[in-house]
Amino acid sequence: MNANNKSRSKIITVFSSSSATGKTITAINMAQTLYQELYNVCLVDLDLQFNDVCRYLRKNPVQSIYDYGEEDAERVRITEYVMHHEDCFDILAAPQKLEEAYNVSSKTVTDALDDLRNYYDYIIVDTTTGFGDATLATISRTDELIFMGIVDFIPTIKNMNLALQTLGDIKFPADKIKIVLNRDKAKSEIASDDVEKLLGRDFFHTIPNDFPTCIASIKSGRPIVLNSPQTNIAHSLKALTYKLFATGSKSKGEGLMRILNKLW
Amino acid sequence: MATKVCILEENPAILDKITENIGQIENIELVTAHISDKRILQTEQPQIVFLDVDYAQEKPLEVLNKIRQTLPEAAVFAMSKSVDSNLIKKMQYAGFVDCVHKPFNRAIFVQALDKLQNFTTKRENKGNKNIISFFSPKGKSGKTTLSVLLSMELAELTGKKIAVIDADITFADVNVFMDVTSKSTISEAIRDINFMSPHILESYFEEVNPLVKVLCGIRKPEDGALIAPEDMTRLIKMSAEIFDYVLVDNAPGFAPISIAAAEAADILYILGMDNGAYEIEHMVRAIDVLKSMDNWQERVRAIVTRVPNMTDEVKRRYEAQLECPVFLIPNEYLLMSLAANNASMIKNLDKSSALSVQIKLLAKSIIA
Repeated sequence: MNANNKSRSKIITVFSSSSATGKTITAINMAQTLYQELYNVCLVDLDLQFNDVCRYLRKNPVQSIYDYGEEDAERVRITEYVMHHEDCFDILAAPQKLEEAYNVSSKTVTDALDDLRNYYDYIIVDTTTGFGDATLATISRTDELIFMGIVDFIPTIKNMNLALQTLGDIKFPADKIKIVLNRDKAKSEIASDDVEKLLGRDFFHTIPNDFPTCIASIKSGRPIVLNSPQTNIAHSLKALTYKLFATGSKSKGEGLMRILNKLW
Repeated sequence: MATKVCILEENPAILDKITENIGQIENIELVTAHISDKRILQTEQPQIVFLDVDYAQEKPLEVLNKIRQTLPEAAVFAMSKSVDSNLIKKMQYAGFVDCVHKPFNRAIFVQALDKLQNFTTKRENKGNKNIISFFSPKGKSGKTTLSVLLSMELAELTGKKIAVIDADITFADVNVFMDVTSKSTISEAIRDINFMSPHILESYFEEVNPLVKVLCGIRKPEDGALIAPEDMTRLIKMSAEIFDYVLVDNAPGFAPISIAAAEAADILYILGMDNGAYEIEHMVRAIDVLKSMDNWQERVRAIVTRVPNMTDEVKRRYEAQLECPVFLIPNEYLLMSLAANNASMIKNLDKSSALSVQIKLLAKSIIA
């Protein structure tokens, strides 16, 4: 693998202050979009206890970040614990047993992310809600934070504000936080403009409300950008990815390297 | 059977006076001793102790702790020649039931016993399923909504005292739903828990109405790290001595605090919304873990929220998957949001709505 990859590799964390904001769907579709652009991509599921990445993609992981953590990080390669598929980006799965979830330490998380940088252009991390140990460890390594939010009712917005303050308290750079409004135009009496004023920042991107397409994707095990590519939500998820990375496709030569790496 | 009351006092004249005042009360067996002689506690095993806190040779709190080691179930009152509100507060804060003036007369003694009776009744209520915890694998399941609305319904139906403890150490919302401003929170209550009595703990709760009080949640996410599970257990059990029902709202997922709240619960509700993804599967996994609790089949119940079709067939299907009783809550998300956005969900929620009707049914099932 290219020794310079570590410096070019980016870690993108998908975060939220409340549940059901679309973190997992967004993370999956960003990973798929980048994968289709011929980048080396790994999606890391750090929703350790009640994880959905492999469920949504109907993948059955044999190993997880827990197994990686049980070994000496100096002696193992993270790629041995990553799921590789012909037709999909790579996945570092969350533990499938709840008791294993307890035993994934912050050090395991940071070691895994540091190691993944050696092999991937983009590492997308799906997290659990709030500031648990694994999420804080991830944030310490994050290059871009996608802060997912929905505008449904006041407590949700209050918590978004609180989370932004907490990110400031832990000195996470404000310019690396990208607030993404999901389920835009869903039934709510709160205007998104008002939320922007309250948060003191504009939404970086909005994703339209399309619950049926999301459910269809989950039931099919295929990302939305593959399963329903012509829907507005698919276009929006792709647009979010391009906005963030704005790099366009890799060269064909670099893309060939990805294919060759998978063979060896 | 007579209640044995022990008076430990330095001054023999005061001992004589107290004996004269209360020695003939029916169903009270009185034993007295000089305060330096604690052997009487071992030999007589009194249920109630009155302790002279003016005795200069010993610190009251140290003596109280020694008494608790010998007689863990005994109720201990402080007595002093100079009683004022500061001393009463200080003694209650230290763990005495109350502080009375010595030598006390019959009326004061009876008042003290009445106060004690309230504590005893609360302790005996343990068999009445009065600690109710709400757990969910993922958020947005409706725990906070349910705990808040259920507290109001239980108060209305029973006329009893209800507590809501916001133990969500990610983002606490109970105070927003109930429109209360917190002067103190669970953080302060936990900080002080080892130094207070149930009376003092109640002052940390905010009043919603004369029957319902709430212990507000943490102010900032980082405050959650300061809450130890054993202190949470102590908080919940002490609350159960003051309130007839204690409802505990937890953060999603298994964490030391939510596990402590689950283990302390007489009824543990596992919540999940069936949104067409894997919520029910996550509930199954959570229940599998909870099967290691004592009497889990009596204590663990499931609530599935935002159910579009609330039929018996749907209920049976969930019960087969979850292997425990299931209660269904309808999908009234917009109604709930509108109510919450108008400053107080509990005042603004339409009482005739399907959601309110189901909450009432749930409350009745708990009372039954």
